[in-house]
Amino acid sequence: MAPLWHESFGEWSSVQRELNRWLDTARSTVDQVVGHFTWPPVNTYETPEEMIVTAEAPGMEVGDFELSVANQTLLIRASRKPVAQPEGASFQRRERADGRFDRAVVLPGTLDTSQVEARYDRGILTVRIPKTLAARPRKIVVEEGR
Amino acid sequence: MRTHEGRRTPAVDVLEGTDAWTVVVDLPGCAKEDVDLTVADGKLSLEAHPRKPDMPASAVVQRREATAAAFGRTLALDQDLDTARATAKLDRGVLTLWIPKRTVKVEEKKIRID
Repeated sequence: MAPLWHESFGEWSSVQRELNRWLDTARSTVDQVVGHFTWPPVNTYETPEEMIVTAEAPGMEVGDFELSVANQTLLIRASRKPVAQPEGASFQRRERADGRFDRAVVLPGTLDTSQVEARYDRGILTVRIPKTLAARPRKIVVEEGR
Repeated sequence: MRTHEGRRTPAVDVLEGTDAWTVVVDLPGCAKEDVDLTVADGKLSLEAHPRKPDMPASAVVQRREATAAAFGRTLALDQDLDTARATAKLDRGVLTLWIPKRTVKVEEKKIRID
C-alpha cells in the first residue's frame, strides 16, 4: 500500500503554496489601494553560510539608512526625501514613497549578528549576516573500522 | 534580464514646471544600460530590465516582496513638449527625465473675412 502520509503531505504543501500565492496577491492589492503599505519591499535569502536581506529603496543616500540588530530582529529604518520641486513646479502625479519607514526582519537564532555587512548599490540595500560556525554544514569523515 | 514573472509598474512622480516637465521613475536594480526610453505619438514608453542581484548560487529565496520582473510604463505627454531636447539621467535606481516645453509658440493668426 502506498504510504498515506506521503500523499497528504504533498497535498498540504500545495495548499500552503496556494495560501502563499493568495497572501502575495492580497498584499500587492493592499499596496496598490493603500499606497506603499510596506516600503521598502524586502526579500530574504539563505545560503549554507549566511542570510541575505535585500530592500528595494532607490534614490537614497547611505546616511538615510539606520540599521540595527537586537533581540533576533534586523531593523531597517529609512528616511526618504521627496523629489526636489523646481520653483513654480506642481505635482501632476505623485506615486513615489517618501517619509520615514521601518521594516523589521526576524532573524533565526543561527546567525552571528556581531558581523553584519551592509551595502547600497543601484537603489538596493543588501545586508549579509553570517551563520554561526556551529550552524554551518560540516563534513564528517567516517573512519575505517579496525 | 527577461523573466516570466510578468511586469511591474514602477512608481512615478510627474512635475509640471514653468518651462519643463520633470518625470521621476523608481527603477531599483537598474543601470542606465538596462533602460529603454522611447517617445512616439505623444506617449513616453519606458521598459527596464533590472539586473540579477549579486547572489551566491546556493542562495534560496525565503521571502519575496519584490520580484525580478521587468518594469514597464507608458505615460501620455502634453502636446507642447519639445521631446527632441529631452534629457535623462539614472542615479541610484532613480530615473529623472527632463522634457522642456516648446519655446516657440505657433503665432496667433487673424483670419480676415472677405
